Amino acid sequence: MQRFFHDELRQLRDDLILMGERSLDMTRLVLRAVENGDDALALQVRGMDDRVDELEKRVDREIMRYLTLFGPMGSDVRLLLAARDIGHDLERIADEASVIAKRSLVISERGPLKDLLHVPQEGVVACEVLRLALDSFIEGDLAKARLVLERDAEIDSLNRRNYEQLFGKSGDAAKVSASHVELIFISKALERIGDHSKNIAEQVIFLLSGEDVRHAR
Amino acid sequence: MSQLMNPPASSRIKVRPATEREGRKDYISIRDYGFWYGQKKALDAISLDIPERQVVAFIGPSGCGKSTLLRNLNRMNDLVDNVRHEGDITINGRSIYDPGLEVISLRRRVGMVFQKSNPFPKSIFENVVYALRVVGVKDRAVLEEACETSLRKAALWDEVKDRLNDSALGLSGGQMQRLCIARAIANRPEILLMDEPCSALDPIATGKIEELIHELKDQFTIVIVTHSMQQAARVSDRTAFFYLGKQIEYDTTEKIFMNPSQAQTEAYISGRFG
Amino acid sequence: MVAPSSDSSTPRGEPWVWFTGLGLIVGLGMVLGLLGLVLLNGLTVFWAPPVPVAQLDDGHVIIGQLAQRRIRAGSPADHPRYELQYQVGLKEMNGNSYLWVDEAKVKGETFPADILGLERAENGPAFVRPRSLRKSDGQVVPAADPGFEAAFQAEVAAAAALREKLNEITRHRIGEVNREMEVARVALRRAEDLKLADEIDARRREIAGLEKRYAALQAEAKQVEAGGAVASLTATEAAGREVVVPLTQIIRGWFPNRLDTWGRAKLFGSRLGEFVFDEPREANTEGGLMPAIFGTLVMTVFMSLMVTPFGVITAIYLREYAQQGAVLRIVRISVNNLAGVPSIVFGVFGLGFFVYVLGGSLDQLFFADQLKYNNNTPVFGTGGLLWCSLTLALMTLPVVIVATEEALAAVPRGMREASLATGASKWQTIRDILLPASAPGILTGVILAMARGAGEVAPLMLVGVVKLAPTLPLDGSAPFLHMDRKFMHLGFHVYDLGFQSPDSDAARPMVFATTLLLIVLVVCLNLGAIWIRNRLRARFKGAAF
Repeated sequence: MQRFFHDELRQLRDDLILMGERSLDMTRLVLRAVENGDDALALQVRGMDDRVDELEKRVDREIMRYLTLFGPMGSDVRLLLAARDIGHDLERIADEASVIAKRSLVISERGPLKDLLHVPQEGVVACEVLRLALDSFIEGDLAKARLVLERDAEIDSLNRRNYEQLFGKSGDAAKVSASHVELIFISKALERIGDHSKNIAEQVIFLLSGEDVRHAR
Repeated sequence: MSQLMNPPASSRIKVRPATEREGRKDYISIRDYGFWYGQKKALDAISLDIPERQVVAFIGPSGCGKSTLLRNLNRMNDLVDNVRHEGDITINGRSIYDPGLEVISLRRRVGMVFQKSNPFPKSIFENVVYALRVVGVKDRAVLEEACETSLRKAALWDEVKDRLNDSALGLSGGQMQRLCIARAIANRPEILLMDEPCSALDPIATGKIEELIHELKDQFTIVIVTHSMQQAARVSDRTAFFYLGKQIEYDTTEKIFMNPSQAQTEAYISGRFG
Repeated sequence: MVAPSSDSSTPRGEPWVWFTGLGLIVGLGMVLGLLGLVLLNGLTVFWAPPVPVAQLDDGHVIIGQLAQRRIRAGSPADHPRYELQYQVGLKEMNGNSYLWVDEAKVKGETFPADILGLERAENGPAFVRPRSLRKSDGQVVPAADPGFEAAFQAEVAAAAALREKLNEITRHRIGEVNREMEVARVALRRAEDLKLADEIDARRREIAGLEKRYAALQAEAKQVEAGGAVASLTATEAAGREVVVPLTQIIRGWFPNRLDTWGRAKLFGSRLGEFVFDEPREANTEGGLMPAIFGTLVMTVFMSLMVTPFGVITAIYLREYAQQGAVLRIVRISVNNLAGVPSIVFGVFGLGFFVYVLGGSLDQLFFADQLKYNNNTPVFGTGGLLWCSLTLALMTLPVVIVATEEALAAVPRGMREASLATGASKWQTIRDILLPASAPGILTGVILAMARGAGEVAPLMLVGVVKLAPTLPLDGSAPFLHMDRKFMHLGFHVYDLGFQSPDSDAARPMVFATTLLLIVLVVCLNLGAIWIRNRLRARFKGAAF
């Protein structure tokens, strides 16, 4: 029997998915802004962050209300707990996208770069992984969630390569400009986006199987 | 799993959100109301407004006066010897103690459902239309139509439509209580009072009745007394917490259960009471 | 490990359970014993055993049915002497229907086949040896003739038909004319008193017409009678004297020593039927009890019809409307005490208040003409069906009140609350919910009242029951139900037979038979009421009773 308050769980799920899509959009757009040096786009992305923040607050309110008023049991509890963490991670992803946008604006100011190192590639992988994580939640697909955990290593290695390329033994310290530093920040931000996507996937695995796979070595 | 990730919609009827439903804010208005059973003071200076087409829950420990207050809304306590009151209760602006108002006509506008379901030893049909017969309706067609409407609203029509002339005492507990609800709303009262309607029922039957309350609130003003806080949290729009005959706190349900203002309320809802 | 304290073969059990069981058995035993006694004594009346011809040692001959055998008074305990009671009949010749004979004096008994037993319209039974039969066409048939028995029974049947026709003329048609005559006479006297010339003429003519009808009917009756005067039976009785019995006097005849068991069974059934459905004869010691049965039935029904509304309404008032307090408690105690008042007191009250005060007033108001012009013959100012029913209704009122109050109290409070919460008034709640739900309990009270009322005799003697009533209280003449008429009652019948009868020996068997009939009647009434109650219970499944 479907109860009337189960509709509120539906609503919560929908809001969460909306947040996910927004965060993914922000990430994609900001990467395009970085590649093309598009300041207008970067500013647009920064504006989108407010909406995601609002959604996070709304999701939290819905979770708090449902927990208090409707006494959930079983998988409903896991959904609510997972949703709280996923919401936070999505909000952090949006924040990181916003940070990337700010860095891009600084690069444009300081001097555009011709060589973006592995950042574009890193960006593509980050978006793919985030998409995978979101899909694993929407579709309830454990396999996709586990795939996310594996692919996070790719982002980490790309971030390290960016770092080595700039500050590594083969590098020339004199060639590092202010914009390059910004680029490293961008790379770091993308790596953090990957981590958050991994967290989301861990929550999805917890939601679907009840297993806590965090902090695995 | 797919049910978890993509649950279907629930309600048969689209219920408008609280802000849209709310009509007159002081539809039932209780002002400085005190009540005595003999020498014992059962209610002390109760003041609250119940808005139209909202569900208001009265909660509190045993003996706190919630049932007493409910039963005074349709003056059922007039049947008890040696009672008196002070203060006033008005419904839609008119005092229920107005000497020009007959108690019988008050009770016809206010339906009541009791803790232990009490269908009459008559047929299902006769039970539902009793309220109409009492006001003098004799036309068979009118009675049958009202019976069907009531039973549909009470989500009982499909289960009993083929045995309307069977004895009402042959129904299950949950069905009997829904029958009592159908009986209470048959004459389309504006207000529905429910005194612990689910306490004698199992969880499935309770769930069905809660769904019913959720749908009925689109048309009726409902006041429900319940000893289950969880039930009050699920079904009501506003909640009043009583203790020892006093009104401790009255606010929206979300406020009461998520962040009550009074320490006593907090203690009660977190189970630290007593 | 607890060892049992006594040997496992001795029966264990709480002693009080055994005591109560014993009490139950004793009670049941008494009831069954009483029923058995009544059945045995009551039913053997109708059985026809073989009839002996007894030779006494002093030469006397007795032809009679053996009725009793008992120990002679004064005979020594170890060597008892018995005496026998024979029903010899022919009361007008023998002085008494029954005869006691010392058993030792009986030399021998024979059972000749030609003994004939007769039930007669007057003077009781007779046991004779038939000589010849004179049929209604004049032909004489000797007893030795093989066709004698058939011819005899044919004549008996013809005589019965004739008697019935005569009865119809005299009782019904002449009776009707008499009644109309009485009404007309009263009207005439009133007209004379008020000096209304036209009226006087009209009445006089009416009376003349009625008198003509009367005369015609009388002539017809005489004719019928004459037609039956021809057939007669000639026989000799025990002492050898000749007896001539006209067939119109013979109700039934049988050959007791010729019948086989099946014949006897048929006779038994026929007598039983006559007992229940026919009218009494011979000062109520013979014949049937139809009027008494009917009277008892009608009175009990009326008593129930009267007590039920009074009792129910009183109970409703006491429980629902009256103010709880000292006054109410006193009223309740008084009502309960009413049940302890001896029934004869109710009879006296009924006589004083109902008959004289109420009846007298009714007569003054509605039947003043009757009183004035008919020798002050009261209509309602004397005992009758109405006052009997009312008196007994009053007597059984406490039973109904208590039962109704209990039934009302047993209706669950929730039902009452639900009805009031729907906006029903107190009266609507009582009428639509409480009364139907307590109907089974109320009916229980009515059953108890009926059982008590049907058996009471003492009050009835004062307010309207008679030994022999000419008419039934319910008959074909308007207004069909005559509440002012006196009637017969089974209980009174028993008293009358047992203590007031001139021939107590003849009456004794009838006492038991009447008692049996009364018990059967009350059981039937109760069963009927119980059936109704069961139907009601099934309809209102939630009833507590």
